[in-house]
Amino acid sequence: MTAIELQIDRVSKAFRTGRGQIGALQDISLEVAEGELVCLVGPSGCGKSTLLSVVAGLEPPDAGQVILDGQPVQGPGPERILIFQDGGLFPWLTVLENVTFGLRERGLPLEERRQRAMEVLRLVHLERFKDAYIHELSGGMRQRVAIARGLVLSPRILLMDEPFAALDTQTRDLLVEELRGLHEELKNTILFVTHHVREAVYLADRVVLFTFQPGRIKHIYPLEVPRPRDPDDPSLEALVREIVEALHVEVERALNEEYRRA
Amino acid sequence: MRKAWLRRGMFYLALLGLWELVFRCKVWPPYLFPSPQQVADAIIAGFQDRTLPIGIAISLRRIGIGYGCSIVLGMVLGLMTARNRVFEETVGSLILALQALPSVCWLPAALLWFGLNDQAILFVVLMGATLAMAIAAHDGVKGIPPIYIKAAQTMGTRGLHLYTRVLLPASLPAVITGMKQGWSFAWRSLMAGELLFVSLGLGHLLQMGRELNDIAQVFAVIVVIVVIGLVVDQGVFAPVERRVRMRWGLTLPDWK
Ligand SMILES: Nc1ncnc2c1ncn2[C@@H]1O[C@H](COP(=O)(O)OP(=O)(O)OP(=O)(O)O)[C@@H](O)[C@H]1O
Ligand SMILES: [Mg+2]
Repeated sequence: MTAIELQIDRVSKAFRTGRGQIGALQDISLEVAEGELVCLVGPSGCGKSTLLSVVAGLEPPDAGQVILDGQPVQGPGPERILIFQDGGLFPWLTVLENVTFGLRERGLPLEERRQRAMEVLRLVHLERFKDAYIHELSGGMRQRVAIARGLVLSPRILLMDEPFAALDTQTRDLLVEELRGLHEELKNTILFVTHHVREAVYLADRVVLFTFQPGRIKHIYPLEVPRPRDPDDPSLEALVREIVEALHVEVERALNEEYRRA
Repeated sequence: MRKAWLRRGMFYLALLGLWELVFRCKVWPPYLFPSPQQVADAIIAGFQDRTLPIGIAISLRRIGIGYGCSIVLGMVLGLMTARNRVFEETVGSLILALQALPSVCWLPAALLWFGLNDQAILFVVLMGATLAMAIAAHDGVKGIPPIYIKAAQTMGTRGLHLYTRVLLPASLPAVITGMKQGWSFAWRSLMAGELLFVSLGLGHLLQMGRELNDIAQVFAVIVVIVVIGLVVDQGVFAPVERRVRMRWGLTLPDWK
């Protein structure tokens, strides 16, 4: 692999709530190489979204730091784009205006903004919908716009928080395939949170499994099989089963913990 | 849509009929209760002798200035109280407290401060609409899903652009509703203010009607005031509000 691009260095984060302290992340260290696609899996509430927010600079860590290209991350910035679970697209703008939003903040001239946005919209097959408003799109189309809105800024790191969770399986499979193609073409570094182990194994260079509260890295599974991968490959199948079993242990622990508290 | 207008038209026609009927039955003496015809004549006469157009022009000018300032001031206050904790706790609470006071109560103070002139009336209008506008803007901004702000920040939005490119458009549906409310507050405050001293506006014409014991003129001016309020509300705000809500994807389908 090439140089280390992103370094998550002993990051911890706890939330104080009415019901006491919740240890969302504890001592997370992870190094991500340039162009690497890392999938994060773990039980609900283990801190995956929190980790992405910390890397995005939207939440400060309690301890530790995130280092990008040798520089510690301080606050949000367009070289680290977070794509939210439900899109976070702006309903007052058209598809094209959503995609050009970040370029406008960068001060690019109108013509160039349009041109770049249209290129990216073509990548996600939405150029025909450039003038639509967000509420006129289907859920899958919205996620593609959200991805285009991130991609157009050519971020060093794309942080994707279960971007396909709300979609049906068919659309989901299509978009996963689309994402794989995009990654192959653009070679962005991607941190991808998902609940689908199969999807993670299909996409990732490494799959990172989290434990539940405090959120720690339990295990990292490297994948050497070149992409595109055959979803029915027996060696992948075995790994999927292994991760699913390990995940089940954590999910059970999470549930027990939650019942015990309740 | 067309049906709605038809129903509305029928309703007002019936109301007019009832009015005429009450007049003919002589429930109240004619010098206390005019007929629709007399009121219509008074309106026409008012237009012919130019008192009504002049009164309308003066009142509209005042509301234009007062309401315009209120919107700007209210927006700024609303944004500031919504985004700054200290402002919210101090200025925000004052705004809520003052909102309980009918704005015309400021008139005596305004007359002492500014004298018998337009500024005193403008002050009353300002107090009437600014607070409603500020509260609407504050609530609108507070109601913005944080995800929009986060998304903008990751795309590089900073400083003033956060207000102009995110907070303002995101809260626009609420802000327009606030503007609509602010308008009716402003219009009511203006009329109340104009009633109370020689001011040449519509409110003053109303007062003149009383002094001349001319009930038809009083009714004529009331009709004009209501119509202007309604035209602005229905002709300006309602379509804008509808358009914005549609574009923001906030409308529910009409069930037939
Ligand atoms: N702003 C917050 N205030 C208080 N607690 C929070 C906050 N954000 C997250 N938490 C808590 O931190 C823990 C981790 O949350 P997080 O959203 O990162 O989980 P997750 O792994 O993304 O879960 P899911 O898979 O369900 O999305 C949870 O227990 C959650 O309740
Ligand atoms: Mg999450």
